[in-house]
Amino acid sequence: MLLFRNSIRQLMRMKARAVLFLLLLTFASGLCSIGRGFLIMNQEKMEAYEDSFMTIGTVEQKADSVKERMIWDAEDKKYHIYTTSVYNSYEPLSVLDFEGADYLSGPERRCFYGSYMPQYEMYGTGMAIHLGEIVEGSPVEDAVPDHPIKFQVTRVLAGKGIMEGNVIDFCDHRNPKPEKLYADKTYIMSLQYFMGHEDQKEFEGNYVSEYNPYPVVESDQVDIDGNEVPDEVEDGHFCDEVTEGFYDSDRGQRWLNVIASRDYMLHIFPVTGTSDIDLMMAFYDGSAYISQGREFTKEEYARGDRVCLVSELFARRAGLEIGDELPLALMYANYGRSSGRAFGTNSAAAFSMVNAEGEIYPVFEEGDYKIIGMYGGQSGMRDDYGLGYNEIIIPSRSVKNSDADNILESWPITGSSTSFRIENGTIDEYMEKWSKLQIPNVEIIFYDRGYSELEANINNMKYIARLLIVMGVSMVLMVLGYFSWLFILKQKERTAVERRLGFRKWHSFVSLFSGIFLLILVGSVCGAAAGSCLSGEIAGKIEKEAYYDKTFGNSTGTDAENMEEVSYEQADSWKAPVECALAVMAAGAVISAVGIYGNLRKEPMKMLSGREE
Amino acid sequence: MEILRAEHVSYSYQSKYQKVEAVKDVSCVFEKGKFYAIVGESGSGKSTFISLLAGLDQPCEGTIYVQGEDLSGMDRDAYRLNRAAVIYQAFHLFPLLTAQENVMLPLEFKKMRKKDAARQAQKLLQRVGLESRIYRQFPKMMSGGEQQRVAIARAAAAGGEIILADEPTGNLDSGNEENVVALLKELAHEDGYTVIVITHNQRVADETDHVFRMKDGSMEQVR
Repeated sequence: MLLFRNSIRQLMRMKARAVLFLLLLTFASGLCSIGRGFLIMNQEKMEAYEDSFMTIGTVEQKADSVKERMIWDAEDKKYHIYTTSVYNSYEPLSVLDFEGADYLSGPERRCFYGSYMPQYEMYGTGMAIHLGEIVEGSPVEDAVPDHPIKFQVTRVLAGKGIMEGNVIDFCDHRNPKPEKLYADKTYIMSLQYFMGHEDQKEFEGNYVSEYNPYPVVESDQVDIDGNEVPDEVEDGHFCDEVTEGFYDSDRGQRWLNVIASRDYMLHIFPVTGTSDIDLMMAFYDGSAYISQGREFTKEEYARGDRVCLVSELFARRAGLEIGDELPLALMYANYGRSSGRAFGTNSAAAFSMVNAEGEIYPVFEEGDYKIIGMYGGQSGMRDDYGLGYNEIIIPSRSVKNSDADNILESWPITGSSTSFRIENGTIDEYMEKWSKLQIPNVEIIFYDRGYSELEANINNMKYIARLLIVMGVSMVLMVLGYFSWLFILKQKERTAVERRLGFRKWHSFVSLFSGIFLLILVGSVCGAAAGSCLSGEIAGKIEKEAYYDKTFGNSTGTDAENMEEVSYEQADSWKAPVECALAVMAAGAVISAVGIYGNLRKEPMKMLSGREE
Repeated sequence: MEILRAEHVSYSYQSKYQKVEAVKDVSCVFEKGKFYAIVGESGSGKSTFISLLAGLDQPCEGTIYVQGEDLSGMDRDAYRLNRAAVIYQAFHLFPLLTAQENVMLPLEFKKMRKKDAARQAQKLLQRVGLESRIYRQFPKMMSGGEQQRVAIARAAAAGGEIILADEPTGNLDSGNEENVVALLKELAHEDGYTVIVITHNQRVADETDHVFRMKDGSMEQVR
């Protein structure tokens, strides 16, 4: 106690220096604490946000060229020219398997399957209208339908938009050379509703609807590369004359199959297989979300368990609950347009359900899938990235059988169907490796909900934090160094005199060290505490709220309207000040101890006599 | 009564350029209550010999006995604290302590209560002839003579038997020199200290009971 008191007493006799030391050390320690606080805060923030963010890439093959397509317009009496994309070949998904591509999920190319479930109804009655009608009938008089002609429907074979006996306006609108139709003959044709000729106005401002023929007899079946599977039957013309025994002929049979497939289509549900629902844009951007039950586990994905997610709307309407089983019977696979595009809330794209052999596609995979979760949110909006109406989601590996003979459509890989997930913050690294492969016709677009921007901000904050730490540490060392020289090295004589008076070495050590260490203790603790308060205050002002981009737009865009708050609370706010105070104390103790040790190494007599060996 | 005895004591050290034989085969005896002077030219080894007697360093050869006990086998810190005090030409007071605190420090270090230490320090300061106004002054506010008196009082405060003084009057004017020498003499003859003074000053040497001369590390008794 005497030594400590003596140490303090002598330090207090150098008040100005002691106070200056205290202030400088407090300031320096404060800088360290602010810096360390920022660093920890931002590191924790990054870790906390890691779960809120997800980086996915979508992949789209760009067209190699375009070609013109001429379509006849019966009203304008001329061809309209449209362009369509031309792909020399489809890039396989394997182009994404390259060295250094560290995927968390995928890459996967999703198709959607059509599952036939006769016990459930996909739509209300409106559906049939949009699928078009298949009718028998005759023109009221002989006519070439290069303009709207009157046509009397004598029999409705499919669809509910036209009643038997109706006289409709009929025009082979897209055919530059339509065949003449005769009033004494009966024709079968597939019709679609069309806002037709302007000169058919019945009253001002409204177009008269007309019906156009739509080819359905020829199969659309393709292979995975988009090549058409040869079909002996060709559409050739839009309609067939119904003669005696027509329905016993091959062509008549084909018509009957097409008519039968219309009933199937009312009970066909889109089913998408995936290895990670977050790779599906609707779930990624939150427009769809699990509202009941749970999503698939990793094990269920890996094993390909027969489990499924259904829309809560469909479940409610069909009286289904979690745990119920859904008998899926997959009839076809579509690698072209997305289910979101194909299945809207009250309309669906019309596909030919007849294969190249003229038969309705046979079921290639069937089984009971247990409902483990339901999703809410948007579906059936007819957009590429959304979910289809009543879409059912299953683990992709649960489909064991090949769909190669059941493909309706196959397009090159598109952003809506092909995606993968990588670690947050590795977009640049990924793209650097990808660009070395030189595959210019495949475009990758990343979505990270604004992670890149947030990461950049946090990295800036970390840089500032490190700068503060470096400044603080340098200042701490300078202050400690200078004052050690002043309080210790310049006190060599004091040590020698104490030794001469009979102080043991440790007595002299304590006599010098205790006072200085007390100052260091006070300075470091005050500085660290003040720094901690300040860092909290400053951080609170700078980043009271963090936002991320909830949209799908692009990886760096942050539209304020689509921002969502990410709450963050610092877990260990005591950590930085405690670490800093301890570090400064340790540095002070070491520097002081080294200085005092240097003093003590010299024999007091030699020091006092000024004799150096 | 013999209190200190050196037997064939030698000490050498390595300076920056050469090995220096500071003390060569010195033998001598110091008795209780006597006032001794060691004279000699600068570099003759006087200060080194004093430091050996103070236990601040150890002889390379030979032995120093303190009342018959080998100093090298003793706790030399305790020896300096309790039995031998050293005074220097440069006073070596603690600059940040007052005169009284300087004297109190060894007393308190020996576990004397603060109040008692203060009273004892004042007595000692009075004993060395310092006025009470000096007690609360810091060394740099005092004259050389006053500082040396404080140093002597601090040496005496240790309550030991031996006072070793290295040129205690070297920095003093003649008036102060006389006072300090008289004080040391009193401490030897009246208080029973063995006082050993290193000096160049013949007048100081003349005041002592015995005189040793050192030359090139060797010592002979001249009186």
